[in-house]
Amino acid sequence: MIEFRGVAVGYDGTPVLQNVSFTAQSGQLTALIGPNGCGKTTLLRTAARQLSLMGGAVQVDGRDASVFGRREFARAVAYMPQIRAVPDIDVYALVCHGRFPHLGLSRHMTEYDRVSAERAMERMGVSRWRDRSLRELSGGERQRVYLAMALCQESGTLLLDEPSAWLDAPHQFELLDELKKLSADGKTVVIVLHDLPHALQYADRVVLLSDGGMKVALPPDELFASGFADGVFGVRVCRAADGAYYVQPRH
Amino acid sequence: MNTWQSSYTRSLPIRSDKQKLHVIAALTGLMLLAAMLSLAFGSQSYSLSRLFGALGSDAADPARRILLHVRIPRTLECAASGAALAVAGVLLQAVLNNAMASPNVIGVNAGAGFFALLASSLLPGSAAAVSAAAFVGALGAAMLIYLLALRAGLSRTTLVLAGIAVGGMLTAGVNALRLLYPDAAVGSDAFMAGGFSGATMENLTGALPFLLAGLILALILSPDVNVLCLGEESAAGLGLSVGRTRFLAILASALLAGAAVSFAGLLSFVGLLVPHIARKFIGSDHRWLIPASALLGAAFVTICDVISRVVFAPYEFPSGILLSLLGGPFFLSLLLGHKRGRLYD
Repeated sequence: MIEFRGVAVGYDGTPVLQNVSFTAQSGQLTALIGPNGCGKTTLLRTAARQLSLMGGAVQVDGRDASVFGRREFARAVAYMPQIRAVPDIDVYALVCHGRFPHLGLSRHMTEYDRVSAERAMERMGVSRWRDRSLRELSGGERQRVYLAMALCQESGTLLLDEPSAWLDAPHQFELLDELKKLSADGKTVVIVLHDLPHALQYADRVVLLSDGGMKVALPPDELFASGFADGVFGVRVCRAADGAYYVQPRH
Repeated sequence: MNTWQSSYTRSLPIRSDKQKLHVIAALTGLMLLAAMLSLAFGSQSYSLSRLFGALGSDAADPARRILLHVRIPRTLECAASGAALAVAGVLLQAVLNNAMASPNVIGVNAGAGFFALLASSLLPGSAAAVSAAAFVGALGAAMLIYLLALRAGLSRTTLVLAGIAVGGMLTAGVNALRLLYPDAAVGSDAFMAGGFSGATMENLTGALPFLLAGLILALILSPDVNVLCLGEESAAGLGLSVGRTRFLAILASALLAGAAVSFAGLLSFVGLLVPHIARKFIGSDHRWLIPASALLGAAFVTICDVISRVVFAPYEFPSGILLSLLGGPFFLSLLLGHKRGRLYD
């Protein structure tokens, strides 16, 4: 669980977002949405302690995020940035790095660590590329490998920045289905999404950010009913008879 | 997840731990072979049996004197400097996230060279002072580059550019010293090119503590350097103290480069070339790459030194020149021979 209380975030003393308050519950998929440049990524990076907080407080599992040690925090919260390096290592080696916060001073992997890495690869369906170089995989394939690494951290909370970028439509759906399952297993999953219909379709709670603050944090059907998203994005959000969301131009 | 199809069918040559051990064993053999050649060949060549016989003979035997006072120190210096510069190159390439980085390119060697030359100009005849000064110079240059880039935003381009600027200033300093102290800096031409013609045990033992400390630190850091290579954000997200790891890796590379420069001079190319070749053989896992680079660097410099002694015998060529002459084309062929012509994305 991760809780934002009156949070202000930004770069170099200039706030991008202020007074953001909501709670991402465990067992739920929470989506951060908003127009380009509204501060979704900045908020996520701050929650991941990559940026320092400009105001307010972030609580992880009921404790203030700032009191965690580095490794302790990495055991509680896994963070997947949008831009990632592509080192020349094989898939298994990358996924094993997810165990880093669990390793002792000798950095020695135990049998449990290895089993955990295999399980994470299995779950994300990347086991078949186990010995392949990361550089030989496509962007979408690498995305899944990085997700397996995040899973391998065995943290209660996953913070993912645009996890479905790079993917074509069917794989976007597959990935979101998988994230949905992870949250159903009890994890707190927070994702930045730029696709409004996807967010409405898959998230349990949608946090709408714009104009330097948080508009609302609502379940998708309530957000749809409120019409807030239409105003912020300048589109018409529609719902088909089967419940599927889609957007149309305003006119 | 069944619709997920792999877009490639070719798979990576599997580099199991066993295969990596074989690579290490082969490189160890190569290094030992190079050392044997270095002991046997020179302006006066001996058979191996003659060499072993000389060790047991009396002090008047010229072969024994040559072996103990010339060949052994020289071979040890070659191996030590090659290993040190190669490992320093591996660390700098990882920390600066840049395939172009090496102690030579970013001015760490120039820093070590400037201070070593300064020490030998002001305090002639003190090997320990030269080693310490070389370390101070290497660390000073490395930290200056790091801090400059930190202030200007730590992108890998700024780091290398800052290194080139600092290296240029220090090289100017080296040249100024050579003009101001022409007597004290005897052999400074050889120092500039890098070479081992004046090898003594004393020079080596002065540098040895720095070298060993750097090597041990590099090995201890190797798992953390692997995490660092995932990129700053991912590494920090895994709980790695990025700043501390970077600092310690720079410290280790300064210990190594400073030690090597203090007795071998400004050897170029080893720190750039060897890590790339070693990576081809053993992959990018630093727990394996660091020992492999050390062995390959040692063998490479030793072999170049043997050739420089033998080809123009009885004259000698500074091995640093040969190193670049052989290393350059080899490096280019490595770059061009790679599939898609791209070694690095």
